[in-house]
Amino acid sequence: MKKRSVLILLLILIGACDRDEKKAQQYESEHSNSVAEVAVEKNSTVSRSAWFGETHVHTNMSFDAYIFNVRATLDDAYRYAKGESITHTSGEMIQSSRPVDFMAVTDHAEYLGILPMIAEEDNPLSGVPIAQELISTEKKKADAAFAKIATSLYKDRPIEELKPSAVEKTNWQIVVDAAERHYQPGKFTTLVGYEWTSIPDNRNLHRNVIFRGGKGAVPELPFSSLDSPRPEELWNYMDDVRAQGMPVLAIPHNANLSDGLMFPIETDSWGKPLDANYAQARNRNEPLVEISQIKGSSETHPALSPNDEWANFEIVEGIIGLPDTIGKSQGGYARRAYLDGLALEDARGFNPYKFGVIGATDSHNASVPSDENNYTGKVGIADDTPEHRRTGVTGGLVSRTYSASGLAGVWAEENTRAGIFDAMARKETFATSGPRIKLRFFAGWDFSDQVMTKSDWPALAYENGVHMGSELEVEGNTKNNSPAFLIWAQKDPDEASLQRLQVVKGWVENGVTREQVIDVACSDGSLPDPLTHRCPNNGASVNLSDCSTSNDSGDVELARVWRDPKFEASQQAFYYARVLQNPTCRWTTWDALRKGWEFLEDVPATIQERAWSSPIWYRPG
Amino acid sequence: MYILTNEDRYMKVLRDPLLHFLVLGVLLFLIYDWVNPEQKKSVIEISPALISQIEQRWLLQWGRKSTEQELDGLIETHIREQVLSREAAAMELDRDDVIIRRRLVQKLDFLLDDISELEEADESELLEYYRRNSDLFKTEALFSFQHVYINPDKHVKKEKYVKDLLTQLKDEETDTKEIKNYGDLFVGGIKFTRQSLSQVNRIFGRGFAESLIALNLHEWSKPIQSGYGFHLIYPSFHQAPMLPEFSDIHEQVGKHYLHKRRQELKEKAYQQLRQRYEVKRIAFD
Repeated sequence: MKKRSVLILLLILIGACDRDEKKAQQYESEHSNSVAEVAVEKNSTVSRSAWFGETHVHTNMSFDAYIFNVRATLDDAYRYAKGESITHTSGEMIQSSRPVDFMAVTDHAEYLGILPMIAEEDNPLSGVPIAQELISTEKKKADAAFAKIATSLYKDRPIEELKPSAVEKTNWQIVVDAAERHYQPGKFTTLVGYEWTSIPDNRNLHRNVIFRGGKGAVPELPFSSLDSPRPEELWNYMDDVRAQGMPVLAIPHNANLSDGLMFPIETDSWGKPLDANYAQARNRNEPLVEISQIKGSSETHPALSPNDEWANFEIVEGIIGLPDTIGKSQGGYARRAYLDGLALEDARGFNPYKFGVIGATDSHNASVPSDENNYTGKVGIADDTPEHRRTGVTGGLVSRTYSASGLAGVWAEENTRAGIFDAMARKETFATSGPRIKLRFFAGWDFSDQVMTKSDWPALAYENGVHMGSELEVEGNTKNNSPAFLIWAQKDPDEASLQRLQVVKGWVENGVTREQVIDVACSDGSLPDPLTHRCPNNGASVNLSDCSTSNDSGDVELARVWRDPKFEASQQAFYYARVLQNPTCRWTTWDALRKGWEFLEDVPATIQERAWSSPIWYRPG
Repeated sequence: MYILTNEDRYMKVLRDPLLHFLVLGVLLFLIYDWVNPEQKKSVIEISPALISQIEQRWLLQWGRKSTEQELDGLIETHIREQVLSREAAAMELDRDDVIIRRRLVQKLDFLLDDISELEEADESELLEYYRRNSDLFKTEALFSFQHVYINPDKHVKKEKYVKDLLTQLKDEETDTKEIKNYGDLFVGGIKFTRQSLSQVNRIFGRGFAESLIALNLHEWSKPIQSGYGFHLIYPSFHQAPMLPEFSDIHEQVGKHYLHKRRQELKEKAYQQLRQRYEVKRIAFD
């Protein structure tokens, strides 16, 4: 007994070592020293910077991470985010090349924290029969145990013995406390969150639920998919929570693995036809979608966008748990959803799909593996070494098709919970496939072609136009011309240069949805061809013997004031910006070079990293 | 005529082989019992202390007292566990199990932690540790500067442009200048005050802050390269990494020290245990 209390004391001490001591008062004195003065005219009140963060990461509190031997804790995740090294199931220490500005740790709410408890000596839960299988360190047993728990979610049949409610409350408090410990307003933001892991019959409907508040300002218990796997009921819970004064939003991910169920166009999960209430509930609760992460990108699919030469980007189109199955594309990709939304608006008067975009990783190692040259896998022993990554299959998905993606980009005044959350709520966000590319996208009726030559153009853009994620009101259009789009991208200083800036437009013409990809700015002084709307090849290449790239081609910045030559004031449309980097080595190539292996033939050797902005919608009056 | 006396009768009985066999048999059993005492039963103790322990554990986990039925169940579980684990150990089932091994290692690890925990650090030890490991506790370098940015994509004759720019900048008074009118627009900002090394690198890319260290204050520098292009820097302040006063970071030093001590003591304990083993590497045939 004495030894145990000393042990507990010991563990508390270790916990205290990681507790961050900065308090909100300190922020006030530090704030004036920690924000660079931006050269912006002081007659504008809106001045926002780009912040990069991770909104989707798991620790040992998640059942699947624990089963795959992940023992990294909540504190480890936040320490990784801040640039420190942490342990990895491979035995190596892993570390990011640079910190992120904010992080939401989103462990699965289902069986949250139960597995670490089972492993604890003499915990009543360790007597549960399934328990011992779950904490085995052998891969076969781990796979079988994962399948068992996953099945309980696929079939919505909770394993009752693992669900005691008092324990759930305690574990949720552990999550909330960890976020509190590491929150440093102005320096590093932690957002309280969790993952709602709805996966009916293996179809992925997962959402990450993110709260604006911290300890004392979040609900007592998260709403898990064991409470209900229906998105509509999640939204009911969120409406309730919001009504109690606790702002909250949800971010769906992996629409590509939903077999087309993520963006339905006919009925909701009960089979009831979609209606305006559904659209409002969806838009109210889900302002964003995560369109790029380790398990594939879901901006669009080559089958859905045959005229988009870059559509075949990190496509993962299987169904979790069902090897060798291809899911439906319709209903599984963002661009298609935007178009379907326009079509629904035209036909039925409501549009459920007016969401902005972010990227994240979904790492289950408490890490942020968003760099191709530092990809350390997704989930514990399944893919923690180059060998495992090269040949492994997890949950029916092939590990080498996974991506070293992505990050969330956010334009906010300050790096605080309020700043970051509010930016997400108003959809002033962009997604990247990993690099810290900055992307701006505005639209307005009264901008001159030279507006972006002014040093304070962003302030003018905020004043006289709308930012990404917004709807462009038709009232200001006095001349019946196309709106002017102010588009700007800046490269990540540690990455390859930018190749081309594009606008993706979707519209409805005579009841039919149409889409088009238009190059609007090219690197190296070139101009897009006026007929094909394509930049000439800038000759960028990668040296595959060492992954070096030259800075001779590609630009640091690409910018354009663009007007739509085919704009029709009577047609609904959406526009979003996409910017592509020069090619670089894909992570599979880095692994192969480091190990002296031949390059794989079924995945590309190089990748064109990119960023996507949230769209701006136009609706005729 | 031979008449049997009582004495004769006794002697006859005593010489009877059957009696000898009987006596030898009994002796054998007695000797066997003496050499192999009857199998004693192992004892599983259910003491008030154990019951209290079981109850405490339940309270901690479930936030309420256990019912009588639950308590009976828990005690029964404990008994079953004792029986089975003792039998398993007797059958040496724990020998080749990697999980059991790891768990035992973990337990010993905790014990070693306990041992090193008992020793408190005193002030002079902490101060010594602080002095010898000052690198661990230094703050980051701080920088204040303005810069003019040159985007290499926008100028065909980069070198000439930069050279002319530098001449212009060096000619006039820096303080009153409208710096933003020179060079290309840089969205990350043009004036920076007391930014740490990592903050500067966050804005300009890895390695940029390190190249500022050697610059002279209050004069325009030669072009410094970043992932974005070139920058002419006018540094106004630089503070090298500083070691805070011991009194200011006392707690942080304490934590570091205890952690280090714990690691060292554990390693020492392990080495002492290691001494007791001889490692024989068996070569391939």
